[in-house]
Amino acid sequence: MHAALTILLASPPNPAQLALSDALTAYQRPHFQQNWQLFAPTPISDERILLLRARVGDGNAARVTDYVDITSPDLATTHELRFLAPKTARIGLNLVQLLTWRDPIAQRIRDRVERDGGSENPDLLLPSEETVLEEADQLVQRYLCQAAADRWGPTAQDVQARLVVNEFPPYSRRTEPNSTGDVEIRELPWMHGCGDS
Amino acid sequence: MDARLRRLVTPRRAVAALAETLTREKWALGGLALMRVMYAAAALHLYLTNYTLRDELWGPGSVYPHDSYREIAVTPLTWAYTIATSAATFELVFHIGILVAVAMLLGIGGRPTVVAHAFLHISLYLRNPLLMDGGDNIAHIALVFLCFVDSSSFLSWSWRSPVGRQGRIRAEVSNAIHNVALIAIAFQVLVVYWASAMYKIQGRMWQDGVALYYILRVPEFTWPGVSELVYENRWLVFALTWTTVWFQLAFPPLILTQRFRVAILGAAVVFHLGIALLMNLWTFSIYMIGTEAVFLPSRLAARLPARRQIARSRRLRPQEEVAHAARVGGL
Repeated sequence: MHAALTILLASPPNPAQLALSDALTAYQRPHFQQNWQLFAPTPISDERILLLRARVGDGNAARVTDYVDITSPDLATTHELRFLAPKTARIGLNLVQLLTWRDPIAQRIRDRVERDGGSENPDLLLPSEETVLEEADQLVQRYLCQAAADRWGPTAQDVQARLVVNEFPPYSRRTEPNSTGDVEIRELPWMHGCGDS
Repeated sequence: MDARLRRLVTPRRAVAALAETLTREKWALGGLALMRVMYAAAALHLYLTNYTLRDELWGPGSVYPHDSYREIAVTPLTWAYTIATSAATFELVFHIGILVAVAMLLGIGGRPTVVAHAFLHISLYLRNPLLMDGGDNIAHIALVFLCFVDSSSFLSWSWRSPVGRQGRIRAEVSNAIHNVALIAIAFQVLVVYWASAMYKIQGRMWQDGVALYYILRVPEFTWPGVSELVYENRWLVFALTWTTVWFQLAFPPLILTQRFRVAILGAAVVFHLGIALLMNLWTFSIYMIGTEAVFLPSRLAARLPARRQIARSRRLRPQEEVAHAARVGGL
């Protein structure tokens, strides 16, 4: 029983998994989650950086700061310390992954609709995707508020982030010195009320 | 089937044979002791490399709210941090966690220490799931099963004199629990290899032999100054990408074949040390090698140092031994 459920939970999306999805979801929490994509089927092929700015100060003295890169310092620490590096860089990256998570089956359908020039709204999300996104939003807000408080002190009330996705140059252009891939910038909405919680 | 053979292999006899195999003796005692040591080492790596950041990662001020942790902590094995709502209680639980991991590394306290570590460490994982990677995933699952095996027969210290003979029924039940939990751990390793191979053969970049190029460029997994040398070399990228897929596909059948077991285990150690060095995934690699240690053949595992006694050894006198055996075994 455990063996069968484990195999189904671990395997790539398939019809049996869909048929038993409720039972599988119940079984995996909290001890038996199986997540073995490990850079597959498509490895991450871009660099993701979070930029942060905040509205600081009170009343008339309030101003909006410039955008500050909050991902690179953590990564620099990782590169510097190697074996002894703390895990802080993971939080930001995992949060970005949560923000962009889509149900693999639903995403496949959306991709097909888009390819065929369909008229359905590509931004329509499944309830399960909505739930993940809502939770991710709350966590991201907490993360950004803490990062803002670290940099600008407790008067940073509102925060806004930019997600910069820098795609790597394709394999064929890997040795060209100044070769860069596409850069995509996504602006998240202002998040308010940092000092409240 | 031949009629005589059918008489020989009745379902009842098959069950009896299976029961006999499972209850006769405890398997993989040496491999499981190695696994225990490596799991404790990986846990200590997490505790110590993040020590100064503990409050922001797992404390009351963690980016992952305590309320969210309470929502996902639905079994007793995950409850250690429910009381950690103030700085003082958090520090207490966290530091007990470090001490228990040290005890587990040294092999002090036997199974109770392992259970305490599973409780504290799985709770730590759930206290902030945003920190988890694949190594933590397998550690979480295997720690549950590690509570049910004897992992302290080797590489450990004991306070007590060696126990006398156990009662037969009690020993058989204990052997069966140990062996079933061991099978669950071994099975989990096979699932990891099988599933990650399945995902890889479905991916275009893995099929094309270029996946490693993209992975080594991801800043989190880059080794500045070294990764470039690897990913700019077309032979290395191609060879390592494909070998990874072949190796993961080959692992489950070969590890189950007596003849190739040691070779494929050696390959797994090299593979994971490579990942540790090149991609800086140390705890993942320690956890994977540690879990794979359960496949170590007993002729090799038997060379590990056996359990030692901390107090000066005192042999039980024969009459004491009988009395002891009567107590534990109900003779």
